[in-house]
Amino acid sequence: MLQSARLLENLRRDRPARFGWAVMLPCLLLLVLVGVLPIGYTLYASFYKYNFLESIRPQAFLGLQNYGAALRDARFWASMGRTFVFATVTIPLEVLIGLGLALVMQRPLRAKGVFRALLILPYMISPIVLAAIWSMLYSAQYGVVNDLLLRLHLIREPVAWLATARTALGALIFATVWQWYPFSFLLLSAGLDTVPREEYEAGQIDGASGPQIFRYITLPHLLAPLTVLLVVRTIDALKTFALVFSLTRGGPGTSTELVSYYVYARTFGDFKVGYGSALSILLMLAMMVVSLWIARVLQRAVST
Amino acid sequence: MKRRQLLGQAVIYGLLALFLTVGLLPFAWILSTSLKIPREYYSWPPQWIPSTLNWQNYSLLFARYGFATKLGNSVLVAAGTTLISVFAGAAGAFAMSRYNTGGRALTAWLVIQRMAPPMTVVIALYFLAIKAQIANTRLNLVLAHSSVTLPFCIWMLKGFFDEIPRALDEAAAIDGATRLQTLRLVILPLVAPGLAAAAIFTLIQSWNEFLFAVILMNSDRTQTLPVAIANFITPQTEVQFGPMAAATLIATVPVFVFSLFIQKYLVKGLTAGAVKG
Repeated sequence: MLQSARLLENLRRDRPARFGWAVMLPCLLLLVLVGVLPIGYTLYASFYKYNFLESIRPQAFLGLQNYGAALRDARFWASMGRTFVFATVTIPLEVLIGLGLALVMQRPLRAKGVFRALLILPYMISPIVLAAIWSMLYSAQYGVVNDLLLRLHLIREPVAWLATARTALGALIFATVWQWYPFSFLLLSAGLDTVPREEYEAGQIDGASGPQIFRYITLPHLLAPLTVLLVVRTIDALKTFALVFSLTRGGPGTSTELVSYYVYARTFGDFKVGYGSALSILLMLAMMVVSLWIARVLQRAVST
Repeated sequence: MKRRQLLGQAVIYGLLALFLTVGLLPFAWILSTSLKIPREYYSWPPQWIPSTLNWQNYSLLFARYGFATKLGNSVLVAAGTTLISVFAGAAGAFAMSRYNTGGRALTAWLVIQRMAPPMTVVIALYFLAIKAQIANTRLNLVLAHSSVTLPFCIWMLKGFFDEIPRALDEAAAIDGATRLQTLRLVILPLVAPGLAAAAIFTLIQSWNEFLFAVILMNSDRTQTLPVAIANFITPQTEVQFGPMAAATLIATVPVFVFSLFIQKYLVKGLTAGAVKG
């Protein structure tokens, strides 16, 4: 209390700070409205029994019971594990393809800007457009993926990619990699641009081999963009929703039920809002822990 | 030596052609499908090129699927979100950059809000909107989108403000400019390109957004384009590939056009506030 009184007193005297707050005001109000309020409300709801079909207001205070139930929820952990698999397959593929493309694009090329603009188009599209495109391509009856693979004799008969438990997650992974390798291309290109020419020349004069040059000269400059990439894409994996929602609804069975979709199904499928809120808060914590951990590990790699 | 160089060039262009094919073929496929008649899009083996160019899928979208309304909703929501986020974001970014307003606490909150899963936000907005009687309105979707785009704009614009040397503020102060004049006449013109870039990024994000839109907009009247596309993917009856492909293109072409204006800022925009420290 005393401290905030002093803060106000200082504020009254300090005109620049006052000006800053005055300019900030519209932004602050909006942040409260679209950020603090909703996240706070979900946090609040997570401590309650709140079954929306019974009543539109939370029914009973449960303390941490929703969280306890969530931690014992096998389907929640399974969806987390599936998301982990999804991330650990998509991200390295995106990095490898993106790095390959970035290395190709480092060469002097004509009309590089045009190529770059075209190459990143998949990255610009809406996740639902991604889903629509691949639902057409994967179509069991009329899909061009089956057509191509049959012509190449890689499959014997048309496959229902999205309706087969063994292939559905792979199909989602492939579509995701297709959309996102341009992202790692962009970031890694920016990283490659920061390598000074002289270091390459010095490496060549010292007789370093190609792989050695990559390992000791190029790679250190890529660690920073790689950190960003890993953090952003891991968080994205935990957020993946549109593809699952519109292509598989988590099925067949639960074979493509990624964690965001599971939270959705719990909250809006059976309207257990309190429980769904607790799951979403756990999801949020998972994102923070994972991204801080990745950032720290790679930070250490940079400093050694 | 000459021959080896030529070979190297050929390999590079070959790889590039491969990347372009893989990246662009799916778009070519939806373009072609959008111009087919049902007999052509329900054929096996698939017919790659339509025999005649048929625009009826596009007119069908407007005649039967109410696309005028969906397009209008998407435009309104994207415009509203952009206006609010860029204006408020610029104000916040300026105060943070020049007066360190909010300090560490605000920075920490922005990181939290940037990281909050949309699922966490949408649960509250869905049920709060019912209580506030703004459920199923475009306003609610604008607020939902701003929960993502506002922190994004603040981060991105703070970067632009930070790049403007403080010496300029001081010079303006010595010349007798008030703080507000300094902001309006000296700083804002310099961050104009940044404002434009942030606006385009926000526009694209809101236009493309699906999760909030599909959960919050349950009425035909207020649904946006992405929700309409989702209805095509999982229809009541048989999938209408032609109209679906046409709808997909209508949603995608504006994004491609806008993306041309932000090529220079892509990396900056992608990583705005992704990791700091």
